[in-house]
Amino acid sequence: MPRLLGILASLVSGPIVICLGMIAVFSLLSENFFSLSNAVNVVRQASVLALVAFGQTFVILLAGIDLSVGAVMGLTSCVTAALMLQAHLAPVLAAAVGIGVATVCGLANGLVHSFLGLNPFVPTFGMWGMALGAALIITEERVLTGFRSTLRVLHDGEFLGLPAPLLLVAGIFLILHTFLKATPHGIATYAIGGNEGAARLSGVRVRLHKTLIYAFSGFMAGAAGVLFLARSNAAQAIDTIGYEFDSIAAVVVGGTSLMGGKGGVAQTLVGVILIATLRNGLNMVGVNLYLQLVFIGVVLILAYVTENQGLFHALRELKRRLAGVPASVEEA
Amino acid sequence: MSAFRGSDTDSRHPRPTEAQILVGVATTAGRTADPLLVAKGISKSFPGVAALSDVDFDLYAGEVHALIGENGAGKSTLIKLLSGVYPIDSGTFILDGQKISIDSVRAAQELGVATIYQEMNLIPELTVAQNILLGREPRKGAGLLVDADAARRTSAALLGSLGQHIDPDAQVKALSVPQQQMVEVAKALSMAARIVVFDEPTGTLAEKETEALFRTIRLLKAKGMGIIYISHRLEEIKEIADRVTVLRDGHHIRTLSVGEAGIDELVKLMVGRELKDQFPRRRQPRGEAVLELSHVSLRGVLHDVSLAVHRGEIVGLSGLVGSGRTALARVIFGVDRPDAGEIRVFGRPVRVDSPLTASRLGLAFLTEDRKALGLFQIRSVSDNIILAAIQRLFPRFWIDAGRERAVAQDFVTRLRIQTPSLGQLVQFLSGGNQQKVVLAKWLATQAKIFILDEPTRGIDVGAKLEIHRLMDELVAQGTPIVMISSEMPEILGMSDRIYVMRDGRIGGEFAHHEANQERILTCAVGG
Repeated sequence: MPRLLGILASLVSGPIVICLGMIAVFSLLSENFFSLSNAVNVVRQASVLALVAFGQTFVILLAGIDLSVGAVMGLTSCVTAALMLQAHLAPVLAAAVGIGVATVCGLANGLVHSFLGLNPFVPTFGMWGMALGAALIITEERVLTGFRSTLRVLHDGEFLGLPAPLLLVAGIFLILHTFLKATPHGIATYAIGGNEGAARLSGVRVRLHKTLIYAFSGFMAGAAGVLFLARSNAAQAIDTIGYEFDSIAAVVVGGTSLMGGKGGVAQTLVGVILIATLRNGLNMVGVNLYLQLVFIGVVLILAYVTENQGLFHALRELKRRLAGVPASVEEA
Repeated sequence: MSAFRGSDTDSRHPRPTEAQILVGVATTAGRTADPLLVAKGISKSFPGVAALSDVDFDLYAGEVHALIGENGAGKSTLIKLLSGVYPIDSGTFILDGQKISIDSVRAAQELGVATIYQEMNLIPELTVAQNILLGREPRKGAGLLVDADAARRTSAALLGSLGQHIDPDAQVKALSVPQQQMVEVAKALSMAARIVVFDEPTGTLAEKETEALFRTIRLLKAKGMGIIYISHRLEEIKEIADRVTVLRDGHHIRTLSVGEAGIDELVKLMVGRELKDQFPRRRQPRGEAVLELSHVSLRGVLHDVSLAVHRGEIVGLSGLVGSGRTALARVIFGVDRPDAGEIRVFGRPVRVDSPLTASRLGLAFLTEDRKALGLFQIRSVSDNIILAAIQRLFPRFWIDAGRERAVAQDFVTRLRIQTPSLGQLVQFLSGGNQQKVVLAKWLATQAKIFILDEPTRGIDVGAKLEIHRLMDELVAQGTPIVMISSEMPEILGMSDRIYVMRDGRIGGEFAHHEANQERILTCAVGG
């Protein structure tokens, strides 16, 4: 029981407070915001981001970064759509191939990063270009539509009265959360991110582990790409560009440290909900699209500061800085 | 993957059960007839350096075998070979009479070698139990999940067997340093280690904590483990070790039992060589004090340090690595702010709260790591020389290229910097010439007091002499120098006065004519 209380206490963090505050404000400003149907709406909107951000969480826990995920998502949806359209592959099979391609992309990122010792920025940004280019070639820069709509059930479907993407995200979340907290590989992930040298000296197979995590991030980007396809029912190479930054933002705002070793998918879930709620709320209130970007930027920075330092600490620090460091002595 | 590359790849060292861990591994307490570990003819080179040459070493069960030597003697290399961090170039390790090959960290662990490094190797964000069993977690659920309850029980029991009551669920970052060390020892026990290596374990411990550590080491010894103990502190070695092996310049010098080894003799064995007068020093009359520290303290690092530097002298700061020499330089230069004490520059009390303040006061700090901190590798020689003095040389906004060249050329000539042109990128210069560029950079700022941290480390003999001549010239021109050096000949040859640091304190002060290596080293190790 005290453990449960501890978990609850740890959840009352900056992002959650901000999230609740936003919900209150939006509810006051728009009468349609605080409703079940809108909540379902937010969940559907958040589901794609949740999947890709889960993968990104693992990478960032290693103190890494995966910039390729947006383009890899696009490649997955284009490959899947093209296979259904041109090879008349069954949708499930096509989606499996698409996710497989994404996993290979992630695996390549991991191999280059771990075994050539390159900063992950380089291989994953390189992969961003390669995946985007490949998707443009496959689609001949067109929008692919007109394939069978079987996959739509992933996004639009319901089960026991609950939206399918909610169940999907919840299921995956539970698996990943358990993986991180209760399996040797999860502990190894934190260990590598916390102190890579120490992890190596403890006998953790660091390079292998890192490689697999990047492959997993690719896999999750693939899954997100399929879900994105299911939502839009059309595939275009550039539609998912931007998810690399959204996913990093969701992870970091949730409270996973960019320095690695600290955080988890639960934090990311909060970050995802925060971003999705903000987008949805601003839309409902009717804020101009460009002003939305400004708002989102401000809230992201605020959430990050309160998560990592606590709001009051941040304010005190600011005050101290403004007061100025004591002046130095004159030249001797 | 295989721990044994030799004849038997069987499972003589399977994953230990909980019970095995708790009782300890070895059944024989005390010294047995055959050594537990023999290292024969071990050699290891790194590019350009022979770190170990043909070193022999042996260790019995139930014995504490100390390994001593000066900085760079090869102690750490030997330990890293034994724990699988580096592969050996030649030689053999024999464990229990069987030739073994240690080709990875994991292999070393499976063979029962656990190493507790000087810099702690725990993951701060993980719990005590997670750290202790990292990579070897007890499983449940068809081997998929960590059995957290079992991990907790095992960890608590291991810690309990060391007389420690540390919560296995506590995050390691919340523990004190000695507690963390006990977690490391528990981790070693959990690996069913038969050999435990302590690499300078007392460097960060207070006296009381050291006593507790020694009790633990005696406990491990009584369980029949072999302990390799590295320390600079010879009095500790007299207390805890059974035998001691001295390494010097990568060679095995002697192994003797602690009973027959006096501290004086150990120091002689560690130092070894004869020092010739190879240093170009013209003694100057001592002028007024230009830099004075009184009772300067930095919590946990420096304690009540008082010293004075006068015009016309080179003050040597000696001491072992970690004794607080660099920390002291950082405080003087404003990188760290002292908690207490006073600093006076040219007789006036000052508050040095940043490196910028320090350089405005006329201080220059040449860091030990000139590649990372002293130079802009991919900029030209002239850019590097004028960079720190840009505001003084060019008070108006723009940089006069002609003036830049003239200033840079002047220094290149005066310091005899060998470079094909002023535009040469610094990264292509030799170490000695790079060091001269750093000196020129500070001279250009018209620095009046120089602090040099290991000024000739990694520089070949000829260039060393050049740097030493420059130092002598600087002093002759009235610029005093504080020189940190781990090289005894350099300290003895260049300094007018020598302060020896130990554990963040000034352990002793010697004028150059009363200093010799035995006295300094004895003072540094606290004999």
